[in-house]
Amino acid sequence: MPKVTYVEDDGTTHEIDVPVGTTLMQGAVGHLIPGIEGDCGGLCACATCHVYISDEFVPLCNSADELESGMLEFAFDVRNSSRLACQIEVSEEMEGIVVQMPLRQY
Amino acid sequence: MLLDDISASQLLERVPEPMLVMSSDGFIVSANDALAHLLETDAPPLATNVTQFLPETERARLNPLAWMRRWAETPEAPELEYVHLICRIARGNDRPVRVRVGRLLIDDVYYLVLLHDITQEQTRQHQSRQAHRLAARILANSADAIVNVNAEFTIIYANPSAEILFGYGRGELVDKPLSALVPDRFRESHEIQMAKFVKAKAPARLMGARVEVAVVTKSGKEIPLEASICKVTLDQTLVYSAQLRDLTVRKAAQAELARSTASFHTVFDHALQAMALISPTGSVLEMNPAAMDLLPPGQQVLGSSFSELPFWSADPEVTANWLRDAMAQCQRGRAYRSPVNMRMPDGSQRQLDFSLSPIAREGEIFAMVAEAREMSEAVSPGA
Repeated sequence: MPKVTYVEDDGTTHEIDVPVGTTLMQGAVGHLIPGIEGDCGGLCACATCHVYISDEFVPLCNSADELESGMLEFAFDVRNSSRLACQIEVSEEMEGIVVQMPLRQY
Repeated sequence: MLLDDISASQLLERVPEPMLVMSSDGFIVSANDALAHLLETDAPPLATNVTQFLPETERARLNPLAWMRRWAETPEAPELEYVHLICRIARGNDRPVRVRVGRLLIDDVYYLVLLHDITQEQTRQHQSRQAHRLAARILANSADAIVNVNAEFTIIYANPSAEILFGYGRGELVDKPLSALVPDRFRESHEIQMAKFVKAKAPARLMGARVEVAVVTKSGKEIPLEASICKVTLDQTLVYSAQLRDLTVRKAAQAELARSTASFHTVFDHALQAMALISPTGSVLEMNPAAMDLLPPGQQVLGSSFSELPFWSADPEVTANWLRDAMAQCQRGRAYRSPVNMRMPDGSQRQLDFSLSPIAREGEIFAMVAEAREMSEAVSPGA
């Protein structure tokens, strides 16, 4: 299982083995990691699983579709590296990926 | 009254929720008093563009007209349930609102917009999330291992301490049966015990106090744990939560303490010379059989004042005074040593080499050791 490091805004890190085929949001919510809410359960309808993906891992992630880009308009402190964690499916290649979380989701 | 007789503006005015009609480029053409009330303006803000009611930060990144169009075309869009717009009211304060949009075709395209103030809903949600976060952080940082199982005894949550304790990776314990953690030889009795606990009426109480259980780690190693289990019902769904504490270190320490105590008693109880361990205040903490021989049979010694014990003596009063002096000297930190004559009940005389030594730690006396060795007769080897 690829190891995913979730980094909270205050620097607290959580290293989690996330099963291939699940999403970065499920990995966080399943382990009660504070900082990712996932209110809509992965429907890409709430923008409460907003995360930042560092450049080196961007090529390993699918790109954001129109709906995701639209939903990101509702997120707080959106940057170029912003993504919705529910739209990123975990693959073996993502071993070691670092997912930074914003200060808040609302 | 026929519906045709009611004008659109009358309808709009009677709707108790904030409502407006806007043109396709966002200008408000009609609005009710409820909207004015929400925005804290004197009158409905006609001919104003709706984007003016978004805070500047929101305006920069959000295209509200595009979303209005989407929500008009897709009234059941899933995000309508979750997202909200931030509405800037008259005094510059922001208020979160949930929006519903309908499309009107009157010569041109217009949108009917219903707004719902969700400030209170959000406050409640925020408080509940804070409580959840706090609980999640406590669970994640708890030194005790915590394992939650559902009514089928399938693990639904294990905190990091539990994963470390059982030797599993993050997330690996979830969906495993609880029996995976129980050693084979205890599996049957564990099931019986759990079944009893399930039937117990009390909804959330300790399964006894903390009990000792043996569990098996991922590598097959058996470890002793202290466990307490509580039953929690959430919306008629049962969850059993076990709090577990590793006893390996404590058990090893207890075994070492027991071994050490046994060694001490082997020497102490079989020593030929009389020995007693005395508290700094002078009461007896331990006394060996050789010392008990210098007292009447059945004499209660533990907790008694050492200097007031009725040792066999030619003159008990003199002996008591002499012992009190010795004790006072020792309590001041100086060892006492002197020969002493005893008169045993059979009339025989025994001369003993008596000593009383203070035992100090960090300059403070925490115990005194009394010893008495035989001086009356030489004992030949092998006698």
